[in-house]
Amino acid sequence: MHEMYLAESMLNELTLSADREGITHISKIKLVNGELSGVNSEAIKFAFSLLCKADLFKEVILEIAEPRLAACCSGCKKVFEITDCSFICPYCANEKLEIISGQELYIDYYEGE
Amino acid sequence: MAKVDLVRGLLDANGVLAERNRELFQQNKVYVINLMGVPGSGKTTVLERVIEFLREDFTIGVIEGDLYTTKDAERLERFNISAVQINTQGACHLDAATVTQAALALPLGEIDLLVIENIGNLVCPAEFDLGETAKVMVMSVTEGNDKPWKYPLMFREAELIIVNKLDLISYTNFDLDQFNKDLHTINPSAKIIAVSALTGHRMYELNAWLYSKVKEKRHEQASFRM
Repeated sequence: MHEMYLAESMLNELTLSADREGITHISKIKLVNGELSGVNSEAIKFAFSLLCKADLFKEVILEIAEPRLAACCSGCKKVFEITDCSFICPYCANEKLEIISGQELYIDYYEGE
Repeated sequence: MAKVDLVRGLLDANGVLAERNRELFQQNKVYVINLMGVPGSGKTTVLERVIEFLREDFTIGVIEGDLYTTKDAERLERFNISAVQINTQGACHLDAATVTQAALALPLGEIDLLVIENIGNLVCPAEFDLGETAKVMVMSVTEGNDKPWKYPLMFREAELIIVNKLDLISYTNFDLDQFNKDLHTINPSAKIIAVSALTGHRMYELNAWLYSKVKEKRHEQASFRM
């Protein structure tokens, strides 16, 4: 259940930022959790709901985007979605890929006043 | 209503500390392995065999992660090496901050190879950078061929995958050729070494891999200083 650790980290980041920005109430949080980040969106939602008891987060909406795994081939430069965990270029069989999405885990933005 | 584009990773804080660990290890010329794997796959037995072989050439240190017990650290006591125990009290992974504390309790300047034995778990440890030089994972033939498909992140992250309990393979339906093929799809650059840590069968291959890596690290440092 490392989602608890991550939810705690999310809470810290938001609290610090809101303090810096002079925001006293956050109404919406947009989190980006890639397909292969290793984190379960439902679990992090649950963990966050247990932790966000401060007034800053009263009735906050946590929205989570889940980008699919995609890569760019370092050989033929084609961009493609990775399906069935196959990390080999389907066009030229190159094994050197740059993962361009699907492994991220970050707070994109939040709204508040 | 204000919108704040924070763009802040949930693992950023851990990442910063991991980089600090990496610098600390680099300064002390230590090759660091983050040893992860399936509970019961034989991580500690593999480690015992490696220590037996490499301790003549290198000074080895161990950070032993465990949920509650000191059982693994006790097993390593007979080697008379520097070891630190971390009990996570139920937490499913080690993080960079915990490793910093443990590392500072070790005589890093004297150590050539530091092995951080992570919590037996194929999910959580994969995401946490500890500042290691290489991630190595252990699984065994009794766990079956489907593990890379079930835990792709862990198998993606590992540089070396040790398939243990080779002595039991004839009692299982584990197909090593198929495993090699599957893993090549998921992580084409990973190296696979199949061993029996219990009997010592093919341990030479693992020991040789580690020997050359630790040696290389020392050399890299020596030329860097010139």
